[in-house]
Amino acid sequence: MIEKIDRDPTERAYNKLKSNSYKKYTISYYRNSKILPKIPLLNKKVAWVTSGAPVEILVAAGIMPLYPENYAAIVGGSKQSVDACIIAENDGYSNELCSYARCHLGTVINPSGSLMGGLSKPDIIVSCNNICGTVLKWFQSISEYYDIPHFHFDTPPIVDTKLGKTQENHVFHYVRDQLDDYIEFIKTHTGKRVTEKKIMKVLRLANKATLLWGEILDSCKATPTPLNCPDRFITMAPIVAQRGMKKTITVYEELLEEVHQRVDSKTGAIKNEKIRLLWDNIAIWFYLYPFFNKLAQRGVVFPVDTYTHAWNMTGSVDNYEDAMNDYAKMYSHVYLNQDLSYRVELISKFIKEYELDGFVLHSNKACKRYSMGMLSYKKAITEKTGVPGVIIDGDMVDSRNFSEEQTWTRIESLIEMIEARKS
Amino acid sequence: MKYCLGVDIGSISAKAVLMEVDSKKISSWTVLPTGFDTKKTANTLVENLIEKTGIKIDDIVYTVSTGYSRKNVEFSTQQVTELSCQAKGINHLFPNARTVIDIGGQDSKAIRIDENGSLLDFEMNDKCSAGTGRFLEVMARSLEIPLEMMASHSSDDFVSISSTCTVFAESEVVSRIAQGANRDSIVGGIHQSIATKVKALVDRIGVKPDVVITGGVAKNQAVVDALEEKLEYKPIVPDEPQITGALGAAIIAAGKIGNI
Ligand code: SF4
Repeated sequence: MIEKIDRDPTERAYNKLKSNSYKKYTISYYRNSKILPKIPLLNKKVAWVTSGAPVEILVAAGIMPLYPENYAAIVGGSKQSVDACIIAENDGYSNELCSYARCHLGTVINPSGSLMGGLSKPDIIVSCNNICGTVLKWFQSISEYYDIPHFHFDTPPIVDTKLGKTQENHVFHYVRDQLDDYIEFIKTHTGKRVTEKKIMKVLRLANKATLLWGEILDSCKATPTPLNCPDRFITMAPIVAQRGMKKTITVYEELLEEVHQRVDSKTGAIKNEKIRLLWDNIAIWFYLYPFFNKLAQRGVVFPVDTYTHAWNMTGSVDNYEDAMNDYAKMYSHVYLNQDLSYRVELISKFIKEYELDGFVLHSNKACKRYSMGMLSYKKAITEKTGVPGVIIDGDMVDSRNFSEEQTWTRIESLIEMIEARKS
Repeated sequence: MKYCLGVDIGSISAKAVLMEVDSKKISSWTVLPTGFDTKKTANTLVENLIEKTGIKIDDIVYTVSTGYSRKNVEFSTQQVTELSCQAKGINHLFPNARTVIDIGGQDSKAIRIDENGSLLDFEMNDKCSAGTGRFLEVMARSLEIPLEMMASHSSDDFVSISSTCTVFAESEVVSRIAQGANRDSIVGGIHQSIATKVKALVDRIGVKPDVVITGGVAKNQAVVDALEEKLEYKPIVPDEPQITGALGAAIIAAGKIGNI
C-alpha cells in the first residue's frame, strides 16, 4: 500500500547521469542537418527514414539520415506535439493515425511554426515496414507532398511456424535482393556511389556501437539497476539515429563507463530501489519525467524495457556477402516484425534475467502494431512467470489521449499488488 | 473507544465509513455528491459522521482515503487505490467472492480477488464512459426519467442501442424517440448496452464465482439482471453497494492501527 511520503516531494529521487555527450551529439547533429545541406560545395544530401529502415547504407553513401519519428518524439518532449497533430488533422489526416505521423506531418505542413523550423527538407525518403504498415502511407504522403523519390523496403513478418521462427528462404531472398535495389536507388537519385568497402566500414562501426549499447542494457541487470527507463529513452537517440557513425561509439563508451562505475559502487538509477518493473512500448514523451520520477519517489524502477532493446541488433561483419545476408535478416527480425509469442518469450526472459516484480504494458493509442494483442500477452506472461502486470492507456505524443488519474490508479494498484505479495 | 475511517471520493459521489477498531463493526456511514471542491466534501463527510455518532474527532486514529480524489483528503493517514479497497471491503462482506464488478461514476472495473481479499488481477474501462454511471446518467436525462427510476422503466422487449460512445448513444436515443419507439424499450436497450460493455470487461479477467456487483449502478436492478443473463452467474449485490470501497478503506485502516 502506498504510505504517505515523508520525503520532501521536491527532493530528487533519482541520480542524474553525468554523461552528456549523447545530448551534445544529438543537438549538433540536428544543427548540422540544417546547415550542411545548404552549402553547395558539400553537395550534402538528406534522407528521411523510418526508425527500422536500413540506415547504414545511407551513411556509407555520405547521406545525412533524419528520423521523423525521433523528431516527433523531441517535439512531444517539448510539449509542442498536440499543436502539430492538430495542423495535420485540420489538413484531413484522421486522428486515429499514428501520432508520430500526425505530429511530423503537421511540421511538414507548417515548418516555420515548428520546433527547429521542422526537419531539413529531404532529397529522398526511405521507409521500411518492419515496424508497422503505417510508415508506407505516411512516407508516400511525404513523397507526394515534396515530389521526391521514395524507396520502400518490404520486410514480410516473421511468423511462428511449426519449423520455428526462421525466415523462409524465398522471403529471405526477397528481402536480400531489395538491398541491391536500394543501393541502386540511392545512386540514381542522389548521384552518390556506395562501395562495398564503405558499407563494411559503416557496418563495423554500427556493430561496435550496438555491442556497447547491448552491454549498457545488460548491465541494468544489477541491483540496484544503474539506469532507469528515462535514462535509456534519452540516451538511445544515437543508436537509432546515428548508427554507423564514429561519434556514436564515443558517446556509448562514455555512458558505459559511468554505468560500470554505478554498478561497482552500487549507485542506483534511483536512490531507494524497492520494486523492479518492465516497460513495454514507446515512451509517453510529454509525461516522461513526471511519470518515472513520481514512481522513483516510491522506490519503483524500470531496469528493462522492450523499446530500447529493439535496437540491440548485430550481424556478421567479416565479409561483404555474409554481412549483407545478416543485414537482411537483422532488419527482418526486429521486435515489431515478430509475432506475439516472441513477445511473451522475450518479456518473460527479461522478467527472469532482470529479476523483476511486475510489468507495465503501455497500450499506446498511436501505435497499433506495438499495442495489439496486449491483453493476451499480459495473461500469457503472468501465467509463465507468475509476475503481475498492468495495462495503461496512453499515447506517445498526443496528450489528448492520456488520462493522468486513470493511469495512476492502475499503476498504484499494481504496486499495491506487488507490495502485498512481498510482505 | 478508537475509530478508524475510510473515505472514498469518487467522481460522482463521496462516501465515508466509520469503523470501531476493536470490533471492526461499522459505526456509521454517509454519502454525499462529490461536488467540485473535493477537499471541502471530505471535511463535510467527517462532520456528518461526528454529528451522527457523537464521537470526537480525536477518537479517529487512522484514515485511509481512496477513489479518484484520494489525494485531496488532507487528513488521511494513507492513500490506497479503490481496487485494493474494493477487494478488502467485499472480502469482509462476502468471503467467497472471487470477482468484483464495480460500476462507478466514470469507470467500471472488473477485479479478481482471493480468499484473503488480496487483489490478483484487474481491468478497467478505457477513457470512454460507455458502461459507467455517467452513461446511465446522461441517458436518464435525455429520457427525462429520474436516475433512480430507470430500472422500473426497463422493458425486456428492448430496442438495441448500438453506439458505445455516450454522445452517439444519446443521439441514437433521440432518434429512436423520434421514430416513435416505446420509451421503456429504449430504457431496456440502455441497460443492455451497459451490461454488454461490462461483460466484455469482465471477460478480460474471466468470471469466477461468487460475483459481487458494487458501485452506484449496482442499485439499478435492471442492469444487474441484464448482467446476470450475460454472465450466467447470479451476482450478489451488497445492501449498500456504494460504500464498499470506503468500507475496504476503513478495514485497511483498522488493520494498520495494530502496527502504529
Ligand atoms: S505506428 Fe508505431 S511503429 Fe508505426 S510509425 Fe507510428 S509509432 Fe512507429
